[in-house]
Amino acid sequence: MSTQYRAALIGGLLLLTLTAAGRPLGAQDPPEPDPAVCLFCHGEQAGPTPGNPHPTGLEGASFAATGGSCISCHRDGAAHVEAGGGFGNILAFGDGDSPRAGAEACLACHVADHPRFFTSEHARVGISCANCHRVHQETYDPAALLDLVDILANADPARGTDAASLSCLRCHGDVGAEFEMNERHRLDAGSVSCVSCHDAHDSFAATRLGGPGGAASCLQCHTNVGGPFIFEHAASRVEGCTACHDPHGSPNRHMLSFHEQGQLCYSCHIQMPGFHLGTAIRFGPDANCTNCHSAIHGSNLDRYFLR
Amino acid sequence: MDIMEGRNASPCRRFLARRALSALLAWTLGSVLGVGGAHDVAAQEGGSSAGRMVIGFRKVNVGGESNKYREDVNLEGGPRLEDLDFSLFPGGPLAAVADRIRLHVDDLGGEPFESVRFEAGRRGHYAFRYDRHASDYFYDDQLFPESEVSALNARAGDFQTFDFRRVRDRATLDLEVTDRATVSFGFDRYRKTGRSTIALSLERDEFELGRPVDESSHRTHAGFQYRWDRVTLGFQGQYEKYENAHERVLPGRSVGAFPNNQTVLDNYLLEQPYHSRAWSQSARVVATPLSGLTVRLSGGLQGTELHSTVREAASGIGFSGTPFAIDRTGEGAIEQTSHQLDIDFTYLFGGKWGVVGGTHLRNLDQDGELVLGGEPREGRWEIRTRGFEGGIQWAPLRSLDLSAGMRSERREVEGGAAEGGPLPIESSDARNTGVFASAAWRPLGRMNLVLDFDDASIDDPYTLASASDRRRIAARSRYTLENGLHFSGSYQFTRIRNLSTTWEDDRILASFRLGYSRERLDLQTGYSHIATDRRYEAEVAGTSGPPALFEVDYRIDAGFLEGTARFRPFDSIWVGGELRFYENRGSFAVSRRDLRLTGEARSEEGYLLRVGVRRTVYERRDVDFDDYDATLFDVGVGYAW
Repeated sequence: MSTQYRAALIGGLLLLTLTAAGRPLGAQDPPEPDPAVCLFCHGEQAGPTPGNPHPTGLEGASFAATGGSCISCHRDGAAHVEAGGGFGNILAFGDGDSPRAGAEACLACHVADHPRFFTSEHARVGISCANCHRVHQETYDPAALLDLVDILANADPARGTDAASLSCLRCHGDVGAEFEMNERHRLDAGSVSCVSCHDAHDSFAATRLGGPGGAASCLQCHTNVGGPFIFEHAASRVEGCTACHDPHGSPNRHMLSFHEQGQLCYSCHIQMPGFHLGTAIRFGPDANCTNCHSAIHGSNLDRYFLR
Repeated sequence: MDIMEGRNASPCRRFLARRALSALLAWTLGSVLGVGGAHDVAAQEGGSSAGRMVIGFRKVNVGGESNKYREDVNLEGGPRLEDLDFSLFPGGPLAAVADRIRLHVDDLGGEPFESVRFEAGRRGHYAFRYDRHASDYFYDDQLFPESEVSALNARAGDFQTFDFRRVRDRATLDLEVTDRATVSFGFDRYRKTGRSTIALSLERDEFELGRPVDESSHRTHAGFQYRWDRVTLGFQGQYEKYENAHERVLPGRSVGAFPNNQTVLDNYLLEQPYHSRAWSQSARVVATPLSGLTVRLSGGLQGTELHSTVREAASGIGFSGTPFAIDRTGEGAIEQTSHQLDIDFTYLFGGKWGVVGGTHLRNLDQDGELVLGGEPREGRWEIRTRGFEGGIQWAPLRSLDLSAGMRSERREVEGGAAEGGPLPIESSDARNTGVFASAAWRPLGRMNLVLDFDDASIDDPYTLASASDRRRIAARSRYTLENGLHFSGSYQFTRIRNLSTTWEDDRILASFRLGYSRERLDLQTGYSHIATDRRYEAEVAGTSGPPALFEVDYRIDAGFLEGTARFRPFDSIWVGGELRFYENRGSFAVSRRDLRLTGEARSEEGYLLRVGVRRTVYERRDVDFDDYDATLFDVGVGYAW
């Protein structure tokens, strides 16, 4: 094992040792949980609901066992009770509350699931958990991503787009338009979802070398083109699938980034055998290069990807 | 002989089998659920249930190019289980086994996109989930009218066609062995079967080969997580087995794409089945040693071994008129290992400040060798990536969030491959340096405005079309009024340049949506614009002769207009419509209009009647070719409780 990995492992173990005991993150000393006070006004919204682990703690063994109650998320509500309700005196996860405070409240329990949330683009621009998730759903749904606007739209089962993607498209309508192009991943049919490839709780990896997470997302379904191969198409191996493809949608067949294959290939390959240029009409930018170079994603037999 | 001859027989048998399965499943489920019987039982036991089941029938009329319809929409006629959604929250003795059971089925019975989800669990004890997704993919694009097909003029079309089905089954089981420890198991099976065609270049001619699609993947994983008050520790191991039959066959004697060429191929067979085994182990530590501080450390190791055998046989007449024959076999193996290490931290303090940072390391090593007909082939790759990011976040007001940061990343690549002889190794060392900044402002409670900026410079990009300079500017807004009116808008501009070549890529994505939503009425409309301009000048040099200058200016100028309306005049009736219009006026001009009207009525007893009509028209704007128009009628009956 290399030195850097050894150092990382030792550091991790030290971290584990030093922090294995102690009070939970962000722990306050909440007053004795008394959900009955909250339910007096908010009973319909936050009352026990089948299978939902969040509200009240009256239902759900694990939530109650950790002392869960309304103030586990909404923090100290004394001022709210004294004022007889209202906003601004309790963390309501609403439009007037600090998004960061809301996210911190959720991550007090869910930090192990999403430790990088505050490095994400969503967190940077004040998108908090409550912008997409609804924890007081009438029935427990792991997606739980809908608000009133989308409930009506998603009540039509003939619309295949899943709940998570509908939530994304509320803000990313421009990206959603790419999925309307003639060659597209079938978001509208439920064949893929935004979360099939993207993690909304993590940082945007598309700006890194190797494209959006490399090819890992693509190879979940397109397993045959991931190799490994003896002869790799280097751009694909190093840069990722987006070196040649527009993954959301494109007017071009196979979602290539150019309409003609030759246009795509000649953007990188500027040295050719002589016969390619002698008959430029056949091998020009309008050519279907993969009619010969058919194993274009990689080959174990031929270095020119002829088969 | 048509390569794809008989391809329609396979879908026909599939059609009948799935329709029968749909009917059987619907009858079985209806009986088991008792059309409300389950509801009665659950209610008596102190539990509850809800559900909905719709059996539908579709009639499809397609005019024009049916293959294009299959590529684009691919909905078939006939009966199917349109929708089944069942949720049970048991009471009584059954609650000791599970406190929630859910079943959701979409479009079962020969539809191109089918899904099944089953969940069961008991809070604090276990959670089980099973997903099945099946999707059909068809591609057979003619590209040119028959009269314009000419291989000599690079207008022979695309020899690749696809007609296959993907099926993925996933199951996960999480066991909470204590209130702090969780053990998880998972299984993932993926299967892809069907037909396809592909091209072969041999003896200066091009031939269309059949390529059966037959691949499968099986993946299992097991994991363990333990949560202390401040630290969570997790381990996971995974094993994957992948197999691909990988075969190409010439179905019959062929003179190739150039009839004037003397080349004739009497037979061709390439069998290259391969299988791989992959192991991976990963560990993760998430710690919160101080209030506001979160640290994550994760590492992973993966290893893959691939083994392949090869047999290639062919005979025919060569381009010079001389008979030729090929008959060779071979065998080979490839090994790949990769390591990942990530260290991240987030520190929030003072209620307004945050500091984030992280570093990542990725190493990939790959080594492979294959001998075919006594001739060795060898390939080797090493890719090392290291990077770190850091940023600061400041929320001076409850309604304002500001952030900025930078990243630095380095990727070293060494690789090469050879057929016999020494292995040429080429090296590349790219460095990515970038900055990012964003601002989010919420001047009113339900209004937000976001600005985002990202700039990166990459030294020594890997290809001539890779970015050496990338800049992205994005703006988004969203406003919801109390009266139900809401609007959102977004604009994104990305500019990519390769400063050592003439390669340029400008991309604009813009969208505006307006809506009005109340309890019984929902109206939405929006317009999106996509503009892309990719251009370069490439002086392509040959091993002989003068170079050729290729000037490319590729454009997308697309618009997407949509509108939806849903109205619920009574609690038991809703009607809705949807219009979607897409048009590209750029380098490949097409348009698609899609109009849908749907209505549903529900009786007091819970019976459902659903009707719908859909009209889709697709047109190529540059030629009167490859167009289709389709009308789909749907009717469904069901029950909901």
